Amino acid sequence: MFVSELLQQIASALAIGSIYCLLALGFSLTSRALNVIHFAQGDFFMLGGYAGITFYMLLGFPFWITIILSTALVSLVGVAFERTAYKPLWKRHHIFLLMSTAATSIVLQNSAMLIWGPDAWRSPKIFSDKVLNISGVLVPEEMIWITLGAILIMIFFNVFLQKSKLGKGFRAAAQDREMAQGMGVSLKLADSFVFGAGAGLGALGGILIAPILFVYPTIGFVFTIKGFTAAVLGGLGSIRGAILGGFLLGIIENLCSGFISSTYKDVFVFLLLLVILLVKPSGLLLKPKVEKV
Amino acid sequence: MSEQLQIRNLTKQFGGIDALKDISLEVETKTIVSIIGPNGAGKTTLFNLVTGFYTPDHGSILLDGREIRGLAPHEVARAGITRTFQNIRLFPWMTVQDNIIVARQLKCSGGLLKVCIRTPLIKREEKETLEKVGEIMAFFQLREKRNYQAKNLPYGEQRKLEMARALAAEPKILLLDEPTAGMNPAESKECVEIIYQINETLNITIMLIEHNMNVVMGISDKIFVLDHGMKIAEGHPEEIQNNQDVIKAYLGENYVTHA
Amino acid sequence: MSISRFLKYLAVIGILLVLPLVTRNPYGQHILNMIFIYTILAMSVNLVFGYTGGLTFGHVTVYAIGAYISALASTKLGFSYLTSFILSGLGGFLVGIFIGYPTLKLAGAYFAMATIAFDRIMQTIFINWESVTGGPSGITGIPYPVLGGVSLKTEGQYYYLILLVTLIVFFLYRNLIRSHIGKTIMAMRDNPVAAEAMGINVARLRLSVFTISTIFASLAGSLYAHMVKYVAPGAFPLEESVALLVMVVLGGPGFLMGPIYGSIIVVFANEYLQYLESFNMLVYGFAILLLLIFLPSGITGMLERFKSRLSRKKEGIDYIREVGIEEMR
Repeated sequence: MFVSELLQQIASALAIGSIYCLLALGFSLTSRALNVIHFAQGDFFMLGGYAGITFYMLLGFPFWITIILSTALVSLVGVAFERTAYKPLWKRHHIFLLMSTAATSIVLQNSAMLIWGPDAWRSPKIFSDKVLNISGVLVPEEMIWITLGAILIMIFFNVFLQKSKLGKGFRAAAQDREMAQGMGVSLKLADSFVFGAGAGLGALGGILIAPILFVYPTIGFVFTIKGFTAAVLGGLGSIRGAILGGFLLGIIENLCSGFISSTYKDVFVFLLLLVILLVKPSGLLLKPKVEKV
Repeated sequence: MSEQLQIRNLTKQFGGIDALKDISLEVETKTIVSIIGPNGAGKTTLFNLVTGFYTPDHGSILLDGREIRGLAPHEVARAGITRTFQNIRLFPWMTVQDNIIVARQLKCSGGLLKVCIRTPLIKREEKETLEKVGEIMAFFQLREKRNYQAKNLPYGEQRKLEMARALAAEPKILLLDEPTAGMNPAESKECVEIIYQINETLNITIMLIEHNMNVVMGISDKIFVLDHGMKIAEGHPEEIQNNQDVIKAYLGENYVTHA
Repeated sequence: MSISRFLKYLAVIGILLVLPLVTRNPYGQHILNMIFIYTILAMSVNLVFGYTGGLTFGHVTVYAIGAYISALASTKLGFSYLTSFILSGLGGFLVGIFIGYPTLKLAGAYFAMATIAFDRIMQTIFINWESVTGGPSGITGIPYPVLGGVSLKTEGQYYYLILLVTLIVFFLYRNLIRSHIGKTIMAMRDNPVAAEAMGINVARLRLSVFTISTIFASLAGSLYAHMVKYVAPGAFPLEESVALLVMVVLGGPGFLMGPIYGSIIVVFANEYLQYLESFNMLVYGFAILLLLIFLPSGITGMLERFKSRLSRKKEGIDYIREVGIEEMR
């Protein structure tokens, strides 16, 4: 009995975990581009969810078009903010940039509330309504598809980073900005691209999760914290860390929800975040940084 | 003369690379000592270790016989060692006077509650601080510019201000990191004069990192030469000038002193 | 103190004393009282954000804790008003130390996240620890203050207590900022490495300033509790923290008078924004974005720059008298 319950939790944990991976990955990217934690990352996720629902459910577009349109749209919104509200603050005190991302989060949240209303929406299942029974463990087939989808996106993105010219430019810009500039990479464009990609990844997470989770304007905030926690768990800035952190958070959260209490689930994540921040903010994979004087 | 600062077997690694290896040196009270060597030799690392910004992997640092290794930078300052930085770290938007006032704070009692209420003790302390700061500014001839923002000072005076700040703490030992960097000969000469004054009049021991050999040879009582994290020579200026290892590693075959 | 300055103070105090007569109706009086309470809160946030460089979303939480402590002390424990007030201050002090000590070590974004986490956790405690906090309905029936035999029953009477506390807090805050330690705090904000090298225990000074700010915030909470006579979790949403930040940024972060200008403007503006309801937060968000891009030094910064330009024309000296957080790079 216990084992099957455990497996149950782990199964749904993998689904939500893969979404956290996308979020964490998006976090790493946007943080890289801005050099500061992006408070509105979860709100891109929220926008993605709403966009997905709007195109797929309300307008009846096929799923493939929905994904492309939604992702593109949210990425554009992201880049718009990056250009107007973030980049100009680069030369100022870093705390202002941070505040700007927080303010953006507020603007996005409340705009969403105005456009779609404060109630929760949910999109119908995209892939399948069936619930599979794998040796006593009930798994909605949708979850499997979502997990696969998320993993596929991550693989695709990784390949893109490693193999394509654009991807190599990203990585160069991330590692050594001056050298990248010397090689002809336009830093301004690179930053915008990286940021847009981060926003897009967040949006993809939102689109994928809309069938199984309710989307309402304020989930952006909760998912910012969770995405951040996942990213910090694995080590902010590292791709492998984002993946590790994402799945780990999914499992931890679900185990807690299943065995302790599901109302306190979110609080538990906050506590976990606090603990990580206080004990080892560099995450599980990275080594702590030594500051040079 | 007694050994004021004793550094024994100091070692520091960064990511597997030896920044400093087994460095031992002794500085006698009220002397002027120079640390020289090629770039990357570990000179600033040595300063950072002594002032508590880095923690050594091995070794000990004794100030007047007391172990100061492992102390935080502010504790080292309170123990009597202050410094200037290679890249000027003034508070650029604060006035000259305010920069020195802040540097003087470690000498004040500074209970925050008392400050909020402004007890007579606090008022007296602030008055005394202003007097002392006035003296320091006069010593460096910065008095007329005391309400100037530090960033508006010419480079030479910024360097002077940095030294003034380091002195406000009334240290036993003053560490100067490339004090004449970027200065023309006239400014360098003035800087040397000031250093000499500080040492003679205020009886403060001085350790400098310098690349300007005229300055080094002219002012030092003793010179330590570092290369690749190791001490390769120590001695009086004449000895160092004639030391073959030093010439090969750093000074160059064609070096001639200007007497 | 010169005669002219003394007269200026007298005039300001005089105006403050007669303000209740201007407002006439109870609602106006309530707004007036809230302005002062928010001024205290804005000063506390300015200490942390403007003077220490820490983005905080947690000061409304401390305000709430102060309110709850005072409420509990006076209702369930039957303590006098003064005792409850002091207990709130004590609570603020403890929060400052226990929350400040671990979190101040964290860099910018992590610190901000930690304050948000703190807020969420406390909200959950407020809502769920029913036996103590009264759950979602909170604590009602908080008595009006009775000091030395004088009962402050109406908001108009209560005003004078709030005014007194605000003036005292302002006095303490101003002395701190203008003192040599105040300069040290600003130096520490600008260049903590240099400050350390000069013997300043940066960690401890940050903690001290943070604790002072939490004491102020919790005292404001006590004032609030006895004014509206009812505290509940819903009165302290995260949006209030955003409003406080708007006040500080608008007024001028890191400037002495910033929080005062900011709180007055935001409370008034809020009165008009109320008609827009859900637009409220949207406006705050946009306001912050616009302020950060176009006016990061706030109103006070603008004034200071203007004054400096005047003085340059008149006396030829080139200096800005007061510098906020924006000038640090």
